[in-house]
Amino acid sequence: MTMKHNVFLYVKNHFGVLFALIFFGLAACEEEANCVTDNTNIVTLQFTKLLANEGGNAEEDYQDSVIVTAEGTIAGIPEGGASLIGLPLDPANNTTTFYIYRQLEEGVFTVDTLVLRYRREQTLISPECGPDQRFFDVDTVLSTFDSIRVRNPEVQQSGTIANLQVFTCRYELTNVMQLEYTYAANDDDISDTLFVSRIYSNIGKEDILLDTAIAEGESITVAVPVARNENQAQVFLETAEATPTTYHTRAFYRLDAFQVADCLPQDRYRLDSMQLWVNADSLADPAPEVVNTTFNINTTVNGEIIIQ
Amino acid sequence: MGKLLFSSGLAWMIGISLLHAQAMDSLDAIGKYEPLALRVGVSINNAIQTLSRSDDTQYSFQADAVFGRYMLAAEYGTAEISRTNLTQQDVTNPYRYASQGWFFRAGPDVNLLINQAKSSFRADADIIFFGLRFARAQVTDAMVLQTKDDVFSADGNNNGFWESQQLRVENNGLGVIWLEMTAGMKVQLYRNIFLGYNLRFKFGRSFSRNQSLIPYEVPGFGKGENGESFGFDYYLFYRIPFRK
Repeated sequence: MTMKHNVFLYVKNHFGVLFALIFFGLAACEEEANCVTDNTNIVTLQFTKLLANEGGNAEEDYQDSVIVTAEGTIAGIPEGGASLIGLPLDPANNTTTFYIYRQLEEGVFTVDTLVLRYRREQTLISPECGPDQRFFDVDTVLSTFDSIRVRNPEVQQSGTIANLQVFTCRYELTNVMQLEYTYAANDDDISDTLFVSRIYSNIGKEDILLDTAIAEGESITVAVPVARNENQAQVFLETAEATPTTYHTRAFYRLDAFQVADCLPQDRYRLDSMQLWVNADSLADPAPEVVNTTFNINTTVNGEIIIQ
Repeated sequence: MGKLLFSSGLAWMIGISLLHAQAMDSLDAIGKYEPLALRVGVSINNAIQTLSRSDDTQYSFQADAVFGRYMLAAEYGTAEISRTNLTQQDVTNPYRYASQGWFFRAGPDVNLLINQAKSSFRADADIIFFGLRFARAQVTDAMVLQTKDDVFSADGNNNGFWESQQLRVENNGLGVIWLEMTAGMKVQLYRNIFLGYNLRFKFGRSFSRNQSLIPYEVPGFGKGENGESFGFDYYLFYRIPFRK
């Protein structure tokens, strides 16, 4: 009897819990859905230029004009000038073939073919929000670009890293060294001018510069080509009616190969050190200074030489 | 959300473990594991949903064989749902979705209401239980949707050129497995009739293959895009005693 009484009390006590949980449980069934999605079908492609300074710095390569079309569409996207473009993936297939037209110079276009493969995933966010499609695992099947790599295979609106990176392989390395001659200012109050009759080097037969003048405190810069099979260039500056008559600069350089991704390797010249001889057996003071080692078309000065 | 569910499950388990530890002495003293009865039940909330929503048909059944303090539970259910927004006006992203499938789950339960068990193993008493489940489901579903027309970009960015296309994506007999921690109670209402509920923390959801369409509703699990899920089921049981 006592047992039954306890059970009755127990059930009675727990009915409240049971029925409370009925309503709690049913109320918890409906879940609020967030209709905002981060998914998109726009793959971003960034053009990158190779500057090759000190190990290969890369920077965006601005294209004057880009037009994108795709197989299976009639429309094209005039992107205008850009270094970052958007490629809309076909939402109904797992591969899309793009044709990307780039203007190289006025009236001259190049066209590249790019075939992308990717996976798609569809979900129903909620009956109210409707369906959503995610694009991911983007990869290149075919590309006629010099070099391309997938940096971010996830296609999302909030993605801060471009999905694809195209190296335009526009190296800016050169075999020309830039030397700057500065005519140092004297302590006196008279403004002197150094007259230079000729500057030439042991590489190449033509004179680099003829009949010029450097005002006190001013500089001139000369472009000196270097040879592939040498490791130094000797540059002679001949003065007119001045002492010493010749300034003899020795620039020691080395050559290696630089390559990024699938681009062809390029010769890279780097300036190691310089000497300035004022006579056959005496070095000038101060010694010339190397300011930029790599020979690059964007570099204005590789070595600075001060003439007293 | 996942962390909240996990911490809830963890807190539940800790609570259950404490109860369990307190009861160990009584258990050792009893130590009987005889099949006493079979309880078979039907999910009440599934039945309510089936009756209240014309586009949903869901049933699930549960049976547990009582071996003294321990029970072996098995559950089976079917689900058939459909969703669409084609009945609405001015819909920007029309779709139609339908799925059907079944699930099965099985695992042990342990009765934590020791005082009741100690006095009687007749399987006619109330129980509070904790259990584990291995679950498997199979779902066949399809969605028809319309992609956005990008030819004329409204925002002027000209960032698309695909015309609107109709897509049909489907799964044919996609297998899904997961694990569950469950806890609940069963209360005797009258003689062989019991009322009970299961709280479930479902985790480790895995699809049997790479699929394009993520099932909106996996029978027995919930939204297919979630790796974890929290569930609640109410059951009405009938007890079939094996011995007096």
